[in-house]
Amino acid sequence: MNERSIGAVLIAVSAIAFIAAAGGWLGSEEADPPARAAPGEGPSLQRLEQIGSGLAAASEAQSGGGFPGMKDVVPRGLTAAQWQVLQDSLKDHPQAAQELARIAEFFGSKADFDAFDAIRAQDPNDRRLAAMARGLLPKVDLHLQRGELTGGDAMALRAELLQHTEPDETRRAEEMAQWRARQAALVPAAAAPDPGFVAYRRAEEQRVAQYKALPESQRDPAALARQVQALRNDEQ
Amino acid sequence: MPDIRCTSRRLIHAAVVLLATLLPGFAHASFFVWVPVTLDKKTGASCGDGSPYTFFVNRNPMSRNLSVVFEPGGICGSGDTCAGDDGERTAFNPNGVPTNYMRAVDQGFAASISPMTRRLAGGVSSTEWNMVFLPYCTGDQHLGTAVNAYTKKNGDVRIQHHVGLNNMKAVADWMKTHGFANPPKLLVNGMSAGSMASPMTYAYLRRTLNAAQGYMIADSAFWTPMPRGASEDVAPAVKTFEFYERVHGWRAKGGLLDMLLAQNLKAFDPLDMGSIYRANSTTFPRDRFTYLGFQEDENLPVSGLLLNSSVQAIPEWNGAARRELRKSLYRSELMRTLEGMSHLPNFGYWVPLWRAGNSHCVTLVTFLGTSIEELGRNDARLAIESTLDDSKPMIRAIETDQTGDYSRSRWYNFAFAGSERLFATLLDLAKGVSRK
Repeated sequence: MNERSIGAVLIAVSAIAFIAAAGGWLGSEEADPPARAAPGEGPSLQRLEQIGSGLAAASEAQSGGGFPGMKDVVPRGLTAAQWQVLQDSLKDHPQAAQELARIAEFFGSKADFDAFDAIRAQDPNDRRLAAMARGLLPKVDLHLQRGELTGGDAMALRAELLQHTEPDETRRAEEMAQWRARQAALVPAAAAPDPGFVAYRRAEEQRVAQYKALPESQRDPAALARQVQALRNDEQ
Repeated sequence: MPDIRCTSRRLIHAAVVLLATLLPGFAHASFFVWVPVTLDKKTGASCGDGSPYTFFVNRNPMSRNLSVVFEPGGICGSGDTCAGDDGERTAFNPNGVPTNYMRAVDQGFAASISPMTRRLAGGVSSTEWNMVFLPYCTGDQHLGTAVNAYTKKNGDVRIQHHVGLNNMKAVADWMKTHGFANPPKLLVNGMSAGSMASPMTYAYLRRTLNAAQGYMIADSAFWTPMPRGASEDVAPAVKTFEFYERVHGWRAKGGLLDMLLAQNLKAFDPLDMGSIYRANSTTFPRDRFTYLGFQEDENLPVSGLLLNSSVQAIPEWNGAARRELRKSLYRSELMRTLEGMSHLPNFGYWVPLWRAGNSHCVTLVTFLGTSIEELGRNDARLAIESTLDDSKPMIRAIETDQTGDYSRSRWYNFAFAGSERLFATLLDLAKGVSRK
């Protein structure tokens, strides 16, 4: 990892911090909350893409530059040693700068969740929690879309955060249902079924049909299982 | 003259290496992201319907430690329960595991909704490690090596590949050759069906991966002491276990028992699968093991005592009496198992009474409601973190207050206040109500 790449990453991280701050994300208790989304509205896809593309663009734009002295700056949530390991691990990665920026953002979010948890553990009614929760909600979507968070965990985190942003239970449930519907539509397609498996299933169905056509007294389920297993093993 | 076989092997090897470098998330590993890996059928791995088996890897280059997580999801031994046609008794993922499984928000994420896999927020120490998640799709507690043709109630036939043990072995082989070997620390853990798999696969995984130090956390399902041929008076769950032993092929050639015997575990009694805890504890005296579970578990009294004669003898219409008997038998089996664990120096347990919403699986969704209030505000996280910290003593705690948890029915008010319905939806989803 050379200095230019490090600089690109740091600029990208800075860009995220700027975007987040502009959205009230880093807001303190006194900060104005971000514009209120319509019920059920999380961050729009467009908005998430903007964050992502802003990140990549920042990385790219700065890849020709150099930022002497900035290499020692460690992203939030990471130690210097960890940051060094990450840089070393990704030194041959074709998109090293973007990957480092993504990971830096992940750990930044993690630090913010940790801060939220720490305050909540002290006082679940702390006034700062609402603003923090509003800032964290779009992060849930972002990290889910990047595959850093599972669908179930995203839902659990979102449910916890909504407690602090929406006082009405019915609206919370509506928001969650709408969010789930939106997210379900965004889940990337699964890999197509394995052709060998498709052929196997056809053969299995034929074999089972032959089996069912036999008089009951002649049916041997153990023999059928062996035949089908052989089909599975022989599949191309 | 060149050795053609040798040359072919080299070519194949070169092709494999080339393929490996082309696979996404492989040559340029994606860190902190759940990456699917689908195993070739030649490994013997598959889901219950015969489809290819996919598992998930989440790498952290800052750690060499490894957490292997077995997904929960019931058990099956009939055409209807294996095919997904028997309501809540259906085992998870009867139609296989898609490559986008971890992203799903409408089905199938029981174990991926847990602090044991949640790296971003609220996780435990092992979520800072590399993680490998084994989805559950074989209905055999990850331990089967049998293929069965089951006839369903409607006359259809379900071919069920109970090959969870093959899957585990294939994943272990994959891990060994893909950068997960020789971990300084290895944690094997899982809920429910995964809790049954964890102790049985522990030695195999630990040795295959050559871990320097091992840990096991089994959550909400256990192998009760059950000498072969024991009467139901001694071991009330014996008929249920013998049934699954037969249909899942535990004692078949190359099955679970053969795998365990090959491990030469000290103190393992092949005639008593319940000896597995003692065997692991004795064979690996420096390793650390913990059992988690509720005393008033809502699932285990049903699944574990499915075929108990005394329960069966009570007519269906007398559901309350059935429930009471199951509950009582389950409690005595739990206590008998914990008593055995209490003699093992490197074994701990954390057994609260009950929690509202979900009283099966301590590590499901959240640790909220898993406190043993007699010990202060600490919840199950304390037992998990103590297990993973070699400098800490093993914790053995059973809640003695048999009423307090019921008055704390709104235990989730901390994080889910006023959202009982929402949380219930989460739990329903996590329990796999819509898993087909």
